[in-house]
Amino acid sequence: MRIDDVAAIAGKDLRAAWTRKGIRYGLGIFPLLSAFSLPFVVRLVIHQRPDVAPAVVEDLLRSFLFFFMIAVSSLPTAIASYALIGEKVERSLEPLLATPISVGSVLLGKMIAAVLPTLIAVWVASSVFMLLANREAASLLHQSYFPRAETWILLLALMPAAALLTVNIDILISARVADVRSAQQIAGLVVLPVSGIYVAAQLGSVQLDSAVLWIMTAAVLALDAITLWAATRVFDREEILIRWG
Amino acid sequence: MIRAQGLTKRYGDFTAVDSIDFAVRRGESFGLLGPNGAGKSTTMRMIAATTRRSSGELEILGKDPNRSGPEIRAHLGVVPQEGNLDTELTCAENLYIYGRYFGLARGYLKLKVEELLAFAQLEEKRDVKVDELSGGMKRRLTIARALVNEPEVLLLDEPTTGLDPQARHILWDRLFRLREQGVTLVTTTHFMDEAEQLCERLMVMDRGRIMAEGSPQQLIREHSTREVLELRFGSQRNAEVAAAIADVGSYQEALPDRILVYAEDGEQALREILSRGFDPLTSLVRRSSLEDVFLRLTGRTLVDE
Ligand SMILES: Nc1ncnc2c1ncn2[C@@H]1O[C@H](COP(=O)(O)OP(=O)(O)O)[C@@H](O)[C@H]1O
Ligand SMILES: [Mg+2]
Repeated sequence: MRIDDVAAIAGKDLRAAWTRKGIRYGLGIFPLLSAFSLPFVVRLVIHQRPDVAPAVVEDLLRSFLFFFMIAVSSLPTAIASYALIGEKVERSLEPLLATPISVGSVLLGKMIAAVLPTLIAVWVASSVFMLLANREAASLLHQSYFPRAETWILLLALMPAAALLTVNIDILISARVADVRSAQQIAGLVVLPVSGIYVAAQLGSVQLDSAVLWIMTAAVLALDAITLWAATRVFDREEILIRWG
Repeated sequence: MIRAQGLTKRYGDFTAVDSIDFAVRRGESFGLLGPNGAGKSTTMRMIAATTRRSSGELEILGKDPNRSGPEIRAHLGVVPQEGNLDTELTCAENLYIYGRYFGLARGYLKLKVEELLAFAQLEEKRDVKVDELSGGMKRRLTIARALVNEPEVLLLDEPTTGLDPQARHILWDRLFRLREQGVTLVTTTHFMDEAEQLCERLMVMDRGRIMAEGSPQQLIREHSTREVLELRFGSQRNAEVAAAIADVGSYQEALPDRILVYAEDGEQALREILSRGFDPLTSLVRRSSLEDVFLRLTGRTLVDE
């Protein structure tokens, strides 16, 4: 595996992804819409119930930040489904396999191309959210709520791990499915457990504190390892040529 | 350049390429001629070091693809059967990015891309997305892409399938230039005219096996007569007439729509048939072609009609 090769693949996929309006909007709209609308909800809550307990607002803020996990576990699919299934349909992987590049580099390049823009979009959006949310909650909490220890665990450990898991699952799906749309639908199911946790947090049945976030990260990393192993097995030169055709 | 012995590829129980032997010399234009499903693409993929052989020996540029895949691929140019360019990208980007996959330097590629666009006669389409190109242009761009690493051997899998006659001729002209520059060409095709145009030496393949090998002229001399008389009597009468004239010429082939009489002198064969009181709806004397060679060797036509 060579860094240059990986960069060439990732660069190409990023460039190709960027030419698609759907991907540009997806990366921009969903995270930014959340970044601006969630603080607005905080404002409404405080405005309508000035006597609300600070702890309730803190819980709200904490689970709102977790809301961005939904973006993390869905956005990579938008890019990966084109970079994998799109290429499968157009058979543009075949000429790639005719180059000296190793399949490992191809795989890694495609993973980076899907994960990197997602993380950047979500990091930017959650930063905006935290800034605005701090301002909205300042009247009640008298100090900035974000960032806290959990914030860093969520942004720098759990989110990258979750984005990677989504891409791994995309790769596994792409070996079986022949069109972009159905791949996106199947991969969309990844969002369900994440949304479930979000709702549970919102209802107060899960406390998203540091310990819980570390446990989730560990669980996702374990899944990452398993799916990565499986992904390298389906993403093999011979396998792609013979079975993906 | 390329040497294969007992080269075999199996997919499960199915043998796509069945123990074939061949060799390609430096600077030569070598062809694989055969109908769909003959195993041409599978053979090409093994030569391109993208698919592993099931058994047999294979040596490309003096190396074994099982052990030296990347080194071999670095010196090959591959034009796959399906036009598989990156459609979201422009012509120039396609060439440039492909060059990066070979680890070529940016500075070198900047110049090379312009040179290849000129070669493919696509300078005006430099910044146009591949989506918007015609079939012939895409094909030329695919060939240009395969040349980005200045390969010693260029592998072309059905280069003109699906192109109109004019686009084919433009493409052949480009391939002639490459030959003049000393690039070794290996081409697969199911068009006999293409095989005759492009290949100095041919291997006729059918059902994973080699049926014959030699130059187009040699193959025609060995496996066919000089001329062919084509007769049509209408679909009902063909079989009946064929039986009655079975002794005219060297041999006959009765196809559903016509009878082919193989003879050194076609006109004389026609006179003989007319003198027996048969009057064909149409008759035509022509020179033997590779199509006739294939028909003789396999009893089937190259292109499903
Ligand atoms: N990946 C594959 N799995 C199973 N059979 C295959 C595969 N690829 C090709 N074949 C079979 O092998 C035979 C030869 O195919 P191919 O090499 O593509 O022929 P050609 O290029 O001469 O048309 C065909 O019968 C085809 O169905
Ligand atoms: Mg083929």
